[in-house]
Amino acid sequence: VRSVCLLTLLVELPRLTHHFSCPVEYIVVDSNEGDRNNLTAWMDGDKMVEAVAANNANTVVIVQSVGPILMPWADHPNITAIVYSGLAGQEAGNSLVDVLSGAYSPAGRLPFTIAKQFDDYPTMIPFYPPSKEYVQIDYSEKLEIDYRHFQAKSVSSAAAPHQSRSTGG
Amino acid sequence: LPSPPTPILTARTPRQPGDVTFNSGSTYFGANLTLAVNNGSVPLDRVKDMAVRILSSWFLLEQNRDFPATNFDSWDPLGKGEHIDVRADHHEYVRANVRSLAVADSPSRLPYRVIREIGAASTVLLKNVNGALPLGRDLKTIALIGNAAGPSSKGPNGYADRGGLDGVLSEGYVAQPTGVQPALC
Repeated sequence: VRSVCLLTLLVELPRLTHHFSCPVEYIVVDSNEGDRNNLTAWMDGDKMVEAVAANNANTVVIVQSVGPILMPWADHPNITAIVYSGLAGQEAGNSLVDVLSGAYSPAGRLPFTIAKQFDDYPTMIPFYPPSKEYVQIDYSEKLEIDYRHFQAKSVSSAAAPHQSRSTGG
Repeated sequence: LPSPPTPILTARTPRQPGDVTFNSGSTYFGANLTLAVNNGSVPLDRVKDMAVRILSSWFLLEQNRDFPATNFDSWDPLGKGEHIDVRADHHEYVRANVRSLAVADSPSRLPYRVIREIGAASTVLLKNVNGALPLGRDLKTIALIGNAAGPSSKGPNGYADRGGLDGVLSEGYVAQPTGVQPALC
């Protein structure tokens, strides 16, 4: 007899360019004003994951997110699977059932790197000052962004685009 | 005219909507763009470049002939808006209106089935140990926990200006398609 706990985690709001005053700037969700400006799960998501994993030896975490989030609980022994379902569209639930049941073996790759910790990322969002003056960006990192940075600097990551796993189903 | 109109001078075509300052009704485009060209702060070539960029995609998508008319005006949603109830027959509507999905004549290629397959195919497995997935038939207990475990408790318009969500996240922003009904719930 086995039991499993499917933990679904929701992370909100895409990041938009700010070349003009953006219509979502005035919207505040979970103390975040406008576009997403951090890499952590909102609505105490990390606490929820850790609380469930502490009480269930077979916990599957499903992340619905607009982009990368830090997963400080990734190596928790009670978390036996992590599924990144991104934004799966109008059939999100059905698609997920197909994967979890083994009807469809997912072969998706991440379009970004998930770092083990925030400081491992080489670049940061330029937060505009209140005057909205444009920030000069020199792009001195050249092509060493995302996985190229992690490889060039030998920084280990939690997950990267060139890694994939299979359910074997 | 606010100055300098940096985005226009660099590479921006009129594709990111929004006022110069929020809700001011002011814009870098229209009459102000004409003014900027006339006073020399924006070169005329930049305007021609913007027009080429916009019209190129317009022609590429054949929007100049036999293309569905614009049926919604976000500044006048209740007036000029042609409201279509997509909850009942979204895939039929897409099938009838999007020529590139003509393959929908095959039942297995109906848009909603294609969307379901794309959703599964793009899912990324980040961790899978102890044979956790796929879920075995010997499972006796499943608990489903979290705010994405079901649809929004308040419906697609439950939060003002989509400023919140307490259910499944299937699209960007917080505007969720009305037809989403996860099989998990």
